[in-house]
Amino acid sequence: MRATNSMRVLAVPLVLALTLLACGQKPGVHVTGGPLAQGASAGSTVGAERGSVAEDGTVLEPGTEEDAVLAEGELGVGEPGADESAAVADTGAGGGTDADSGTSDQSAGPGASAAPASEGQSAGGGGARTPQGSDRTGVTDTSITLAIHAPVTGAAPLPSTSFEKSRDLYWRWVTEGKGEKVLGREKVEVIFADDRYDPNSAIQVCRNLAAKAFLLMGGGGTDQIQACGRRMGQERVPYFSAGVTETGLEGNPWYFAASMTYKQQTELLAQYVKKNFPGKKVGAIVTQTPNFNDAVAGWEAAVKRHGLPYTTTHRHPKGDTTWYSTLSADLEKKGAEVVFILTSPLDYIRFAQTAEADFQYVGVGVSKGLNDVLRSGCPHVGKGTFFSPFPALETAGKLDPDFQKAASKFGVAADDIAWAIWGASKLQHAAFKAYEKTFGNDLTREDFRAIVEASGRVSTGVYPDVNYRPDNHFGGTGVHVLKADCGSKKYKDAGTFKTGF
Amino acid sequence: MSAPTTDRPAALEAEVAVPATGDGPDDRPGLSERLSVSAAEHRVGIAWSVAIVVLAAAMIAAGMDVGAMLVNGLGAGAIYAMVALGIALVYRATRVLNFAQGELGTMPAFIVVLILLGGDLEGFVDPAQVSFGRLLALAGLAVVIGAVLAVAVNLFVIQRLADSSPVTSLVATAGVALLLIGVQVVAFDLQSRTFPQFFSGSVHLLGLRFPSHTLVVASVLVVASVLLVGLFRTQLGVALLASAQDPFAAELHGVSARAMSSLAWGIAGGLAALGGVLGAGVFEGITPGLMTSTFLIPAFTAAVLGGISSPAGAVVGGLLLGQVSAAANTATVGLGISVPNAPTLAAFVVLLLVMAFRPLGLLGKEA
Repeated sequence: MRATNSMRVLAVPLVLALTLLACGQKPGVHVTGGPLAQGASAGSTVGAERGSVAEDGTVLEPGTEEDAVLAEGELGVGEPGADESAAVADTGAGGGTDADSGTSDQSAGPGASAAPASEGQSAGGGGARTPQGSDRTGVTDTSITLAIHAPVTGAAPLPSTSFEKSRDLYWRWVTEGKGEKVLGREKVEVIFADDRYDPNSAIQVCRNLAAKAFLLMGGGGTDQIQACGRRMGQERVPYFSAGVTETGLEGNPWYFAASMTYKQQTELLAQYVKKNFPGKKVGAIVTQTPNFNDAVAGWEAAVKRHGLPYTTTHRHPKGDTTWYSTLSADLEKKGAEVVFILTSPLDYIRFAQTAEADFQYVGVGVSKGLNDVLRSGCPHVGKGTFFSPFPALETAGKLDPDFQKAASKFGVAADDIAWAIWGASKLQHAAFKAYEKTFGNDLTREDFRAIVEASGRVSTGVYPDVNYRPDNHFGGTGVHVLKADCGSKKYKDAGTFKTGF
Repeated sequence: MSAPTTDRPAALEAEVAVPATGDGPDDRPGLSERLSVSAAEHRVGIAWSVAIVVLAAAMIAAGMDVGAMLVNGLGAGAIYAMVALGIALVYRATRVLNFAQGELGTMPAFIVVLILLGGDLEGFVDPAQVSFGRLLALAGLAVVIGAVLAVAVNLFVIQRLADSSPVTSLVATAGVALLLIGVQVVAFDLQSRTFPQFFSGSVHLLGLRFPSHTLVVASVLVVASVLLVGLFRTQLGVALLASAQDPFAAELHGVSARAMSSLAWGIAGGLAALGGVLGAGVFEGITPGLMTSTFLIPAFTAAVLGGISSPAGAVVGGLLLGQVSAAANTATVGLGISVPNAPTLAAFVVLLLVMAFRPLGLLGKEA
C-alpha cells in the first residue's frame, strides 16, 4: 500500500522535474506580451485585421509562386494580395533601386546604405504608393515596437543579460542621440523575452511578442528560431534572424535571414579548412536535431567537393551531458585534427574541456563566436575559429564608430551581443527607410514584408550585405571569420566580409 | 536539539529492526511466500547479470572500447550518485522528495567562486592559480554552508508544512530551488564562470585513462557512502531512522523528530555542497541553476532506480545510470547508428525494466 503511494508520489516529481527544467527565468527578463490568454486574444485581433484585408479585396489569387513553394495552409501566404505583389514590383523599380544604390557606402553611419529618409513625413505621411496591408500591430502614431527573443535560461543558454540591456541601443542612438525620426515616429521600442532554449516555449514567447511588436528578431538558438520563424509565418509577422537552418524556413515569405544560413556557410568553411589546414583529417560533431540536417548535408557535400580527408560526422543527443568523452575519444582514435562543431556554446565548451585531444575547432554557428564562450571556455577553446554574421568587437570602432559612442552615451556595455543586435537593427532600419520612400509612414506588416523581399542588395557595414529576392529570403552573401584569443578572452578578426577562401 | 536518551536505544533498535512489510503484522507474507519471492528475485538478478555480461561481450567483440566506456560512465554516474544520495537520505529520514537538492549544491559552489574572486564579480577565476589546499578548505566551507542552508530550508519551509501532503512539501522544495536560482542570477549574473578542479589532467590505472577529477569524485562518493553507512549503525542513525518511520513513537522515546529531520537535511545539504563543488568541476564552469539543469533529473532517476528510500540504492542507481548512458553512447558510436537521445532512452528503458521487476527499486525496501 505504501509502495503504491510512493510510486504515485514519485510520478509528481518527474512531471515537476520537467517543469523545473523549463524554469529559472531571470527577474526582469520577462514576456512582456502578457499571459498566454492575452496572446491568444491578440492572435484573434490579428486575425480580424487579416479579415479586413480580405474584405478590402486584397486577397491574392491562388497559384502564386509562394503558394507553390509552401505547403498549403502552412504559412500565411494565401493572402498576400495582388496589390502586395504590385507593391513588390513597384519597389523593385523604385525603393529597391534606391536601396541598391545606397549599399556601396558602408561607412556613412546607420542606415546610410538604404534610401534616405523622407524629410518631415509624419505618421501616415505619403509615399509613392498607398499601403495595401492593414496589420499595424506594434505601430502607433509616435512609436514602433520591435521584439527580440533569445535563450538566456534553460538547458543550454547564452548566459548573458546583454540581450536585455542592449536590445534598443541602436534605436536610442538614432532617435535620442541623433534626433532622427523613424518612419515619422520619435521612438522605437524593443521588447525582449527569454525563450528558455526550448522550441515550445519559444513559440509561446513569440506569439506573445507578436501581439505587441511589429516584427520579431531571433537572437540565437537554431531550434527556437526555426520554431518561431515557422509560427510567425503562419501568423504573418515579419521575422528576422541571423542565418541558421533552412529546414522549415525555406519558402516562408515572412522569414528573413540576416546572414548566410549554416548550409550556405558550409561551402565557405570547407574552402577555409582546405586553405588553412591542408592535409589534416577532419571530423564533425553536430547536435542531433533535424534542423541541422541541411547543414550536415551541405558540409559533407562540400567536404567531398574539396577533397578534404574526412573521418566521420557524429550527431550528439541534445540535452544530454554524457556524450563528450565518448565522441571526442572516437574522433581522436580516427585521427581527426580539425573538428567542425555545430552545437550550443555550452556543449562546445564542455566538449572541448572533456576532450583529451587538442582539436582545431571550426564552425559556422552564430553564438560560438561570442566572447562569453572564451570567458568560460579558455584555454580549452583557444583554437576555435568560427564564421560569424558580425565581425569581432575590436573592429567595431572602425566599421561603425557610432556603436561605441552610443554605448558610452547610454551606459550600455559595448560587448559583442550589443554589437550583433546593433548590426541587425541597422538592417531593419535600412528596410524602414526603403519602406518610407515607397509608402510613406503608414507602416503595415504586409507592405513591409513586400518591401524587404524586394529590397535588393542592402549593406549595413556590420553584417555582410544581404540580397533578398521574392523567391529567396536567405540573402546572406558573406561571413566574418573570428579567431579565439584566450589571452584577451576575446575573438579577433581573421577576415571580414569574406565571400570565399 | 535533543539527542536520543541513553536508555532508549535498545527499544528503538528493536522497533527499527522489525521490517514493516504492510499495514500490520497480519499482512506479512508467510515463510514459503517470502522464500518464493526471494528465489524469484535471485532469478531476475541472475538474468540481469547474464544480460550485462553478454552485452559487454558483444560490445568487446564489436571492437568497442568498453574500458573507456566504464570510465566515462563512472565520471557521470559518480556525480549522479552524489546528488541521489542526498535525495534518498532526506526521503528516508523525512519522506520529503527534495527538488532543491541540486541548488543546495550550486549555491555553496557560487560562494566558493565569490571567495576565489575576492568579491570582485567582474573578475575571473583562473583554475590554474587555485591550489589544492585552498580548494579543499573552500570545499569544507561549502559543505558547512550547504548544511546550514539545508537546515534553514527544513526549519523555515519543510517543518511548517509538516502536516500537509507530501506533494505540498515537494512543490515547496521546487519553490526553494527556483528561489535559489533567482538569487544566483541576481547576485552572480547570467554568465558562466570558470570553476577549478582538485586535480586536472588524467592518470593511467589498470590500463585505462581516468580523468583525475573522476577519481576525485569517485573517492569522495566512497567516503561519503561509508560515513553514511556508519552513521546508520550509530545510536544517532538509529534515532534518525526511528523518527522517520514513526515520529510519534520516536518522540515518546525521547527522540526529537524536528532535530532528526534537521540532522538529515543538514547531512543532505553537506552532500549537495560537495556535489556542487565537484559537479561544477566536471565542466570547469558554473552557471545559475547548474546542478538542477544538468544533474538533478538523472539523480532523481538514479534514486528511483536504486530505491528512493535507500542511500545505498541511490549510489548503485547513480553509478548504473552513468554506465547505461555511457553504454548507449558507445554503442551508437561503435555501431555507427543514429538513435535520438540514446542515453536518455536507454536510461528510461532500464528504469522501466527495473520498475517492472522491482517496483521499489534495486535496493528499495518497504519503509
